[in-house]
Amino acid sequence: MTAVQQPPLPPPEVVAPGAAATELKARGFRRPIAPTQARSTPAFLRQWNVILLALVAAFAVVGSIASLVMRAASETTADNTAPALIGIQDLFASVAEANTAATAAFLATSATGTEDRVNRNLYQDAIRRAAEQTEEVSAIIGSDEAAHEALKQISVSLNVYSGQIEAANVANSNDLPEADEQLRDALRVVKDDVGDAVATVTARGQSQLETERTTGRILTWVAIALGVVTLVALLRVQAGLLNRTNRILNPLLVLATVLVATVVGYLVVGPLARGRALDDASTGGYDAIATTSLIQTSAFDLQSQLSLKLLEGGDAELEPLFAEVSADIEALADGADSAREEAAAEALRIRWERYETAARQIDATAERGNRDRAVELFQGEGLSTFNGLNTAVESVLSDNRSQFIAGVSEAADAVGTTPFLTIILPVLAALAILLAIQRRLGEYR
Amino acid sequence: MTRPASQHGFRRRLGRREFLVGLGAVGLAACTDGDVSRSFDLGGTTRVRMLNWADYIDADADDDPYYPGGTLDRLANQIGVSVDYLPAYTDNYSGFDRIVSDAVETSPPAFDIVVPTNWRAAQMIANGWAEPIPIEVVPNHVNIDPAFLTNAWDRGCRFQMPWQAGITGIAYDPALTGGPLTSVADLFAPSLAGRVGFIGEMREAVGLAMLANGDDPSRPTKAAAEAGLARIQDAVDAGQVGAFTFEDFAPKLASGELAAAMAWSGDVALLQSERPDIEFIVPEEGAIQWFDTMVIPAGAPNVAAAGRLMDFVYDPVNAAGITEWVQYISPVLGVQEVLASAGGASAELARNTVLFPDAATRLRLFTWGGLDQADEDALDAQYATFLPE
Repeated sequence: MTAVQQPPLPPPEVVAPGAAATELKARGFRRPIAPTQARSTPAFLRQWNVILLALVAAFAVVGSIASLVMRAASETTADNTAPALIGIQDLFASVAEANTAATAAFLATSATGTEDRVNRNLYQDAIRRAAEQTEEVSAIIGSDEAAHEALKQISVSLNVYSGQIEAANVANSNDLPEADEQLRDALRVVKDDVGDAVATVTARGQSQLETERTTGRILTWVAIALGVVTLVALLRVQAGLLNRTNRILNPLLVLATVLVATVVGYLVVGPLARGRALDDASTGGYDAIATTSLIQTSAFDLQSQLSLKLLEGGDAELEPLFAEVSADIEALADGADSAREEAAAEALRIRWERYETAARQIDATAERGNRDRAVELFQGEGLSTFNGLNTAVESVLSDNRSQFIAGVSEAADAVGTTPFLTIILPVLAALAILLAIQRRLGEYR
Repeated sequence: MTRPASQHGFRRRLGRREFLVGLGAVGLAACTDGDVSRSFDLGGTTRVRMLNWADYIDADADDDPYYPGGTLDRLANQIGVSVDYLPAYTDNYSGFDRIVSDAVETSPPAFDIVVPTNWRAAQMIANGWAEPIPIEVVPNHVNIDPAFLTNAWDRGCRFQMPWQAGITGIAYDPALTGGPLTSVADLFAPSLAGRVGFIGEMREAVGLAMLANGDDPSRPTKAAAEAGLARIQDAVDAGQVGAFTFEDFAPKLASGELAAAMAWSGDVALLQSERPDIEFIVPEEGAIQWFDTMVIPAGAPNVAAAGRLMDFVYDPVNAAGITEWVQYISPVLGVQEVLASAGGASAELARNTVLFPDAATRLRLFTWGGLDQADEDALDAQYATFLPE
């Protein structure tokens, strides 16, 4: 065997830092994207393994938090906020009926000296219902302190009111002069204290509803952005592998891509469907509920003013209220989106017209100084038509309640499975990535 | 109310045609409230199967409710709804059992409309056995008297529409009682021993006994109801009660077998067409008011047609025709005005305070308020021991 003498290698050229890069750049080379070590396929795979798993983990965490927050908000809307918003209107209807019946019973005792049992029973039923509804709303309204404070105010006011009504009735039965004043005080408690507290709870509920509509939105967009970055990274790895190995598809990485894309899809479609369902619930249900509550408030105000006018004389500002209710009923009819809603709005309009006619008649009779006849009308046509109107309002509320609750339930369902999917699918994707890369690395070993 | 399906032995004072002739002068202007010009179509079904009490809709001299010009005939001709009308709801016990078996446990229900009494309707609604009223096809729903809208068990009448209401008071023959009766307590007077009829419906009889005891049947307590029942038991033991009756109080009063009886207002009106000397009073303690009400059983296949029927009978003119014949309290607004405008005997009816109670009478009418179901069942069972087999 002949030994071949190799010439000695030249000593390594000492290059100043940065000079090589400058030379390469001068020859048209660009800085490689990955560190030098990534140029080998195993290194490339190890590096992207870490990057992909980190991205998928971040995507899963943010996505699941976003969807959990959104689902919780939707469930709160369906189980608490929406029923509470409707419950507070029902409560107000009960208070209105109690007040009207109590006044009618009081006036009957004044006029005839006999207790009006029918109206007294109506009053007792309505006030008991109002107390129960206060409890129910309180139980579902959530942790909003202002709303709870207002409900507490309603509860206290109803107790004060009941006491004043009882005192007024006793004084009235004994023909004591303070009876009228006591009833006036009671009417003011309901009109001012209860009315204001109901308005507060309603406003808080509406605000809560709006907050719940937007809850989780930003987090969802962050999750979607992370998902898109993860998808890009997955595609980048597959493109890199294609260049290095000439294999067109890596099934496990394709599977991971599909899984991540599915979650991104859910994060886009679920909230969109939720938003659409909430919009439908709002326009088809809650807007009508809000309009109906305005009608109810105005009608109650009218009835209270009539009661006070009969008790203490003076002027009642009825015309603006007549105009308000008529306009609200028009709006309700315009917003009706089904034959049943149209029929309910029409029924409400007719009941309202009857009540308006009776109220005008009572007002005009009182204006003419014929108080006894005005009281008689108030107890007869006035109470009857008011109860007709009030129960028509309740019917509209009831129909819209169903539509509203169905809408918010649909919204909750739209994102109901998203938290599960945002956890389980990324975990599967991570496993697929891990397995895919480990198998490729195994081939190199 | 509880009535067997057998027909009365009496004819109405005023014929249907007579009423319509009287009405001719009035036209239909009186019912503008119900004239909501809209039309709905919830399906093509035009047949309604209705289970009602006997003698509860206008009929001709042969007791044919389908007679030409009658309510059912006009329903078919004017709005195209034909009715299989079955006047076989006998009472709120066996009759209600039939509703349960044929309209609740049978699918689809054998009836599209049933007409139980208010407390039974409340049970149907509570159990989910009732369809919501299809107000899309019942614009005349607005003609329900608001007095019927405030029941806690169905506020706004969303699941039922009252058919007729009545009063259980006292009917008596002054010649046999020896003078006028004024109170429920009079039924317990020894002078009438063995000649008094008590109504077979527990809530009405016990309710009247509660009134005699000074209790309020519209707000019953278990103790007060039991006290009322005990008072009836004492009367039975003392031989005070000649018979427990349903609608058969009328022939027993007519024949003199009974001198006085707890009685249904409409049936007394019918009796008075033959025996105008028979008196009917709302006792000074008060009387029991009830109403029978139309309910669409859940799952009924002809809901739209049932709604159209309800709408038709809630037109004040059509309702006035039924009132004129059955002579019970109409739950439809505008009926009194229609009758008053018709003149003659119809106008007389419009002035009748039993058909159209004035404010003072209304104050003395009590609707049974209801107890827990178990307590009511116990009272029913005890009361049933008084009734003939």
